[in-house]
Amino acid sequence: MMLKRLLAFTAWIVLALSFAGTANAQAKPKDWDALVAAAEKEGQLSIAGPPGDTYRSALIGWFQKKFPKIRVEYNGASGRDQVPRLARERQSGVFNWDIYIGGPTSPLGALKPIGAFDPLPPELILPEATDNAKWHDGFRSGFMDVEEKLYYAFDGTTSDVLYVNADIVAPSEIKAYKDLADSKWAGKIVWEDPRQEGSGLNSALLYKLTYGEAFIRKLLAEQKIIFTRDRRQLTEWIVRGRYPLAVSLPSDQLKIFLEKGIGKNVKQVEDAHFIQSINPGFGAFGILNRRPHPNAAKLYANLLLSVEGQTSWAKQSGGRNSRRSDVPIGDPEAALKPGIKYIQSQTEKMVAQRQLMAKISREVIPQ
Amino acid sequence: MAGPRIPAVGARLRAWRGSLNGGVILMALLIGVMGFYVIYPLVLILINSFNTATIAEPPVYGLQAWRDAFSEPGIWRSLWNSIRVGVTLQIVALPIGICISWLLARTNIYGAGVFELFFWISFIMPTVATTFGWMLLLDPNTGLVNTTIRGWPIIGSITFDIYSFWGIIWAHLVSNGISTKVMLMTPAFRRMDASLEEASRMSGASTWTTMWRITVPMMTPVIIVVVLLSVIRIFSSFETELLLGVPWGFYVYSTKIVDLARQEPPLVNQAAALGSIILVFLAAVIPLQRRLISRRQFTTVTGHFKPRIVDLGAWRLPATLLVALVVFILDFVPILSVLGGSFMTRFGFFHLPKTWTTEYWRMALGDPRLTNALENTLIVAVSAAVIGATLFSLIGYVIVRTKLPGRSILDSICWLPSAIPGVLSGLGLLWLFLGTPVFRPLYGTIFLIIIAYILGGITLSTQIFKANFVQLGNELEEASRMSGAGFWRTYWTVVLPLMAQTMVMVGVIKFMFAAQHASSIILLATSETRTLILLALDQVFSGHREVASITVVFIMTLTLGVALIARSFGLKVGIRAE
Repeated sequence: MMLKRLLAFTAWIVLALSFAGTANAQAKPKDWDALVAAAEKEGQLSIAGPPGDTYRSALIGWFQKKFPKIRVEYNGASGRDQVPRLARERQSGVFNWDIYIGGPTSPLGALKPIGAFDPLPPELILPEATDNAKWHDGFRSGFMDVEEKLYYAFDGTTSDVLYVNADIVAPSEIKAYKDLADSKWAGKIVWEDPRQEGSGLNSALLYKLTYGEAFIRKLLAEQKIIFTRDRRQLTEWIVRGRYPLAVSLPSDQLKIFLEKGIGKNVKQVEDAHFIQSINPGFGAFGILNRRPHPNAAKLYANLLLSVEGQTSWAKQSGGRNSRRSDVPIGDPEAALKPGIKYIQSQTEKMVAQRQLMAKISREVIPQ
Repeated sequence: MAGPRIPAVGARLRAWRGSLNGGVILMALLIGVMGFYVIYPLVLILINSFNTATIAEPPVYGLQAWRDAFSEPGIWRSLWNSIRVGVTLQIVALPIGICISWLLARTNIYGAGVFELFFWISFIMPTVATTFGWMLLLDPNTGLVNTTIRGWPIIGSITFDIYSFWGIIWAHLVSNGISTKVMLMTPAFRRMDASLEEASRMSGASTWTTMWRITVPMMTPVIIVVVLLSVIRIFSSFETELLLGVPWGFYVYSTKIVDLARQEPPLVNQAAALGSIILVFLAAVIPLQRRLISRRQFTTVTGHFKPRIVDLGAWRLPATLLVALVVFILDFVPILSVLGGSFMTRFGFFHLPKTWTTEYWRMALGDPRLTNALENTLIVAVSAAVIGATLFSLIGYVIVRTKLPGRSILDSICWLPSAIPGVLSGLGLLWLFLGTPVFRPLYGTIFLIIIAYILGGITLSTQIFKANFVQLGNELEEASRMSGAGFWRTYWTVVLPLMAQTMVMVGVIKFMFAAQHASSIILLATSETRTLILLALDQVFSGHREVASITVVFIMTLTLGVALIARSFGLKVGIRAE
């Protein structure tokens, strides 16, 4: 009897494993192994990516571990440095890079018009990477370009607009984001400079979309807001309470303070009536054409969008989330909630609006 | 002063100068190389200022970028603010710099050598580190100084606010406003012939009268160069104003240029239009400095050279204490800021359960990128220092000591790069290297970074040499030529040893420039050729300012080590007051 049970159990295990093996084999396309072999033969992958060790680790650490035969050349810089360089290189006939990863505005504004990107869909052969059910609002909603084929945002972090230092201002004192215009907050707000591309501009745009141009003009012009480009300084100011209200607080910077037990007094203000948006930050990418390592690039693009790649992004990018629903959440406060319709405020369609907002900011901010 | 010449000497000199008509080739070569490197990117920048298309579109030329740039809100006020900061800073810093240089080089204050070393240390401190340090002390709400004195009687009501006009002036003074002047003027004071000072005192003038009536006028070339370099720096300095001015709405001209160049996508053409105005300003300054320096005779090191020091008598101790106080202010805060910051759990947070940690040092030392960046920094900085100092000494010598045609062109070329903020010159270099087929195979290698750094800091290096050559009498060179030595032999065996301290100083400045300046190479480097400063920027971006402090400690230690070695070598072979 005992032996029978043991045999039955063993048979069940073998069956389960064989099914799992079949499912796994089905998850990979038939030419996957050939792709891996070709990529390993190329031996290198060149990525122009966002700056900072945090993003570098999140984007390539797992890949290097998985494919030690493929050396990853990773050049980290912000879009304002990276894009003019790539554009000039390509205009001079130098094609050194396989993949560009970074915020959508610069590459869509300067690299797309010179035809620098190849369409992504033909490169994405891993079913798991493009599984519609696994991506918030479907896979296609991540495309940032008008044609929906060149530049893809995998990041799914919501725009956290307003934070308070709860030691100085009770979060209940601010019922809605428009309360910021109350004169009692004049001189107490710090904001990442909205005259340049970035989170500060994104927040200003959301204010404009929610309350209209007249409101944001008045807010920026009259509230004696402190504008800074130093994200760490901005975070430190609200943590210390020098300025108790912060717009466009960088969550990755706050996380650095929280890790050491500082900044627990900084709380996000919720406002359900404010427009909800996804701010992909640096979490978007495109495959460059005339790339030197086409197979390695294809392999990486597929795996970046897989559970493995997106898990690394969510866990190691310092508080960012993925648009994939089957990976861990990096920042619960900025996670996408089911049933809510978010706008993508950095798509190509929004570029004109962003530029207009930057222009308004330059006009109205006292100097 | 130069002694009477005998006709034979004149004949030999003419013959020697004639032989330099291989020298015309030398001049053509220098103008060609420097012109290509300096003028070509500037022309590209200027052309771009008329290009109204974005970087992705084919060029369309017009004046729209100029119109847009000069209709930027607050642009004229920012220009006025730059002038206010620059002029105020010079009014305060120049007299202090002159006094300290004179005390160090020409008097018997205690520990002059040690003090001078500390001014070098202050000079090599990154401006941003100094500014952060003072923000920690003088923030009106949380600054250590303000919170400490708040309960004190009488002065308790005073608040020192670093975020103010005078806060900005203070930050400039203590970062390099004073130390640059001391660095540049002390060697020149040291080389000055004491004969005139002695004559003054023999005529009954006091030490101070002699200093202001004799010594300072003799130092005119160096002082003019120092002032002009500082004035031009008004238009390129922006880190301090960005940190201390922007929070209360105080903008300077360079902040505006950087703003435009760092838009996404960058508005390079508008930034270039604003940068072009500085070129116009320079066009006025260059002839002015040539005229000022050429009007009088400033030779101080001659065949009769007597370097002597002045006995301060009863003023010796007070003067020593005064310099010690300045050194303390200049060095203590930034060293504490950089070194202390690297051991703090969070920079500036003194009330945490665990304030101090070695975690970041372990993190930094275990990072293989640090070793790679250190190696790259050493390669590029040593190459830039050695090759750059040699090249610029030759340029300075040719401009000051020969009658070759084209000297004023070469001189003007050397002034031009100082007009363009780093963010624009970095773009210019990228265009230069990618647009020139001969450089393209080197693109992505460390050689281009070395070339960028060798030729970086042209203005400062050349002007230092020029100012010092103007002070150098020509009898020793004439003696060399009389003994049959040619141009190159005289240059290597007579001129360079006399200029050893200046060579060392320029070498150290170039080393420091290469170790600390990122903007000119940020578009040229790759992960393989990344230097320490680029690594530090990367760490700052990640929010790991504490780890970046460690990288800065490495940069400072490297620079200081090189400065000490070079200085001891320079003092051995150079001229010292006894």
